[in-house]
Amino acid sequence: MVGQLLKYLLSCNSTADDNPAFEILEIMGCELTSQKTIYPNVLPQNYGTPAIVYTITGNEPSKVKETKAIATTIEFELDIVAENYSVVNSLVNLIIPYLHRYKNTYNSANQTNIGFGMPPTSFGKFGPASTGPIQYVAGFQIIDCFFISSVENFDAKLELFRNTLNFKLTYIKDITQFEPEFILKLDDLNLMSTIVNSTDNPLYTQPIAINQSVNAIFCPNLFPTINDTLDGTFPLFLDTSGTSGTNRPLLIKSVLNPPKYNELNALKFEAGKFLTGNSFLQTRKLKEYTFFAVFNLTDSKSQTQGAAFLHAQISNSVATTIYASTENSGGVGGFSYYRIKGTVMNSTSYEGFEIMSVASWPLLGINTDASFDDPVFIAFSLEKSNDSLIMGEFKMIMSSYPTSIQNLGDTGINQTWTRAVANGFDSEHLFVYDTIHTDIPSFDPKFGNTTPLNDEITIYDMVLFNEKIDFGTSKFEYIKRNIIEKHGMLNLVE
Amino acid sequence: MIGKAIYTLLKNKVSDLATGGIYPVVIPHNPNGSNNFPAVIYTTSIETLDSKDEEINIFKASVEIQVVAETYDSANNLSRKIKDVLDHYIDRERKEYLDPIFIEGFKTKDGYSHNYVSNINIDNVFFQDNDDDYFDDLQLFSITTLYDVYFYNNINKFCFDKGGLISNPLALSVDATQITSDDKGGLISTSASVQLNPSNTATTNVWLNTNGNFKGKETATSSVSEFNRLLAIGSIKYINNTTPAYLKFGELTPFDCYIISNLSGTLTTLSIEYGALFILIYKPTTVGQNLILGDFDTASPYDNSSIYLAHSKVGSDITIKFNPRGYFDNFSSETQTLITSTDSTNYWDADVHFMALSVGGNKANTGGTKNQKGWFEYFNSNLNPKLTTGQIQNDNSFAGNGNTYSKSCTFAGVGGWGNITGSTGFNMHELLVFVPEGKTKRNDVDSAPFQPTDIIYNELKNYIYNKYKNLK
Repeated sequence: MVGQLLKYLLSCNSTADDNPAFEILEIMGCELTSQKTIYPNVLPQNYGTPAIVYTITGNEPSKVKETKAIATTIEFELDIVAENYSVVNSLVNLIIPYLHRYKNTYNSANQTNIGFGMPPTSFGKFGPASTGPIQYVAGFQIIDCFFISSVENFDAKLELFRNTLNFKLTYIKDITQFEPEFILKLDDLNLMSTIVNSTDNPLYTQPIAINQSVNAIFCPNLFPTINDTLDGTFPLFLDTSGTSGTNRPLLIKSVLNPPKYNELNALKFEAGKFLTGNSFLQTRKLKEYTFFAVFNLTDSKSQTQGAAFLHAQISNSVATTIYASTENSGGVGGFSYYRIKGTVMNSTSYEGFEIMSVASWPLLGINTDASFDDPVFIAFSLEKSNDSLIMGEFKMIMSSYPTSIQNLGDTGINQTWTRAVANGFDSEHLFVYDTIHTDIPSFDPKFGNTTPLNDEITIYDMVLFNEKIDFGTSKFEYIKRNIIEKHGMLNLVE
Repeated sequence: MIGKAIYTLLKNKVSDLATGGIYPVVIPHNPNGSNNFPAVIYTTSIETLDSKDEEINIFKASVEIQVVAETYDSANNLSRKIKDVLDHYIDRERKEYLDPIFIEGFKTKDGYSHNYVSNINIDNVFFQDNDDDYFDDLQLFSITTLYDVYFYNNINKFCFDKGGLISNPLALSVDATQITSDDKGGLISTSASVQLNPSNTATTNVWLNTNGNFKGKETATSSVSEFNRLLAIGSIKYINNTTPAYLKFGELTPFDCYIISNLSGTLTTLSIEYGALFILIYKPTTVGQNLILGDFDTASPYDNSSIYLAHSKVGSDITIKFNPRGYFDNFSSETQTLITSTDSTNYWDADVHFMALSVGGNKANTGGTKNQKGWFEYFNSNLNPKLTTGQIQNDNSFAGNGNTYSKSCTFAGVGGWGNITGSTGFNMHELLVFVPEGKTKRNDVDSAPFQPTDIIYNELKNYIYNKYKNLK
């Protein structure tokens, strides 16, 4: 992975005129060819020079208590090899300033292919413009890269001049290391853009400020490989209404009132607001998935409502979704249901399922404090057992202190769910998504009553993996902890 | 980088090596027949010094110089001569402009030493160690000496020498901001024949190119020749009682310009038929027309085909524009307006202004359909929107023109001939001129050879931000 990053930095895998590495490639004579003379570890025989050989020489994780490293520092060497000493020197004169305290200053002017970052390529395509201290390149979040030293040499066997450059590169190790489909990173305002004035270009009004509307949000990861056209592309969600800003949510910051509210950024999708994913996102079909989110629904105790986290209206008769819903009997102390549900597609239509349902009836003292009013953490996995059965695990933590709800909270106990429908799950791929939230007011969930999906929802965190992650594994626990710790939900258990 | 400076120093300062015998890293097999030795082989390694700045200001190079000779006495003798030159290297020798390489060095008020060797600016050199050896199989004596060389990591590193004929990409680097410890302009001269640094308010005649002499073509049809390491003919006041120090244009006519000259001392032009990038650090001071880039042509039709760039204020109307063929009045159809505004605070009053103007070549030379397609970036100490590269491409690009020129575009210098096309008043801090080695290799042959996404441009902005703090 890191090697892929180094090759990407040096070439951008591009033949575009505005390739940031153009000058390097021009000297190497491969600026207009897809084959770049940049190699890992060893110079191939008979491939010609000038060439660059990159070698990772050290890997030092940042040591932190109890959990995985939050950052890693690698040392790497670049061997600049050429037959001519002055060519080596010219390359060195470009590469040192390029990589030392690296800044990804590139920003696309291409408004038809919405996207920022390096020129369009298959790998690392449409990266965010790095307008802040973190450089988002090729799925890496680079904190720093700096030049240490260089040493000249002559390879007597190959009769080539060589200059070996030593660098150190530090990058963030967070949930992105597990290659999610996408992850929303709302604490970096540089990953969001807005339109303030009607003439503003949403490509450029970055970073955003708190209480501004979000026209686009960029993810720090790359779509993992599933043999789809979007493999290796940065996920992006944007308001396709353009300058009107009709669909965009609001970026808010919660007040500092722990333990429920911890001054964290969130996307507030008012009723009917939504953001649309990359073009062709609907072609990206998942066989299984694991979903994590922290959210709240306004007035969930008193109103019957439903709000989608993710949704795709594939056709008039087929829709896949993940949503939260509430049902209320009304009146003081009446009963309520708090549910996490979804749908998956099958060969002819789609089928609904329910992950979890929490009942509350304050009048009778049942789960009195339960609600979706305050931030709620949910995680669940979904896989197909056979054409008639889907199943998975789930966990929910309510920050509204579910003292009477057994096994909810960060207990270490994970629960399972199943949904059986004869031939209800007979397609290979089950799930598609292309919007965060939706404007659909009435939806047949194929499991329970018709529900709206467009009610207001506030999303603090959201991560989707295109695999079923086993709950309780170190991978799951790391992801869970990474999300809930900042919400004060760690060990929130009674 | 530093290897080029070491080579240049040894070749020019050690008489025994004037005809060669200096090799980087390895000595070629039998390079001079029976006259191979003594020979000098140099190897460099570079490391960074701690710096709070984004840009490393000073590099430290460990330079190993190995003298190989058939007798110990010969090796020792040459090694000692090299040490005499390099250890605690200082160059304060008064220079005549015939010297193609060296500029008289100086120490700045903050104590840093500057010694110019071609495009490399050396702070200091310290002898560290030496080691004798004998190669039994070759029957050669060897003395290897180690030096620590501290040199400035400035923008001049982009004056590459890849064996090409044109000095590129950075051909010209003139800087009025360097003040010596005795309060003089370090890179400017009051004499047209020998380097005499000016005091505050002195009238200057020469603005030195810190790259030394450089090679280029005077016009698109001429052959490659060597240019003098200076801009000449000016009668421009030097001011350093406020910093950054500057040259004050627009006061002393008619010699209100600094112009490129060839080795014969004749004022001339530098062909930019394949395009160029100009970096200008300046401040307009007096209402009226200011020719930041201009020409020395004194009579109609002013047809040197030199690029003009003006930052003017007439009434409250502020305009920044350029013309790739000559003076605006004579070639109005080619005038490209970059900025118009009536906002004096943001487009006139600022203390320091930055303009990057990048133009493509002439269609007759590139084979394209447009002349001088390009882009610009402008900001100043009052207005700095920190445009991204996409914004520059999207908002600050111009398509060029499709006209047919009688001559391809050239660059002449700063300012204009005072009596006819002079300036009302502006201060000039620094000028950098980048030219490509040849026709752009980008897919679009009309495009400017230097783009805002380039490493060089990003590094250049880092250099500017580090140097002119109120532009950051």
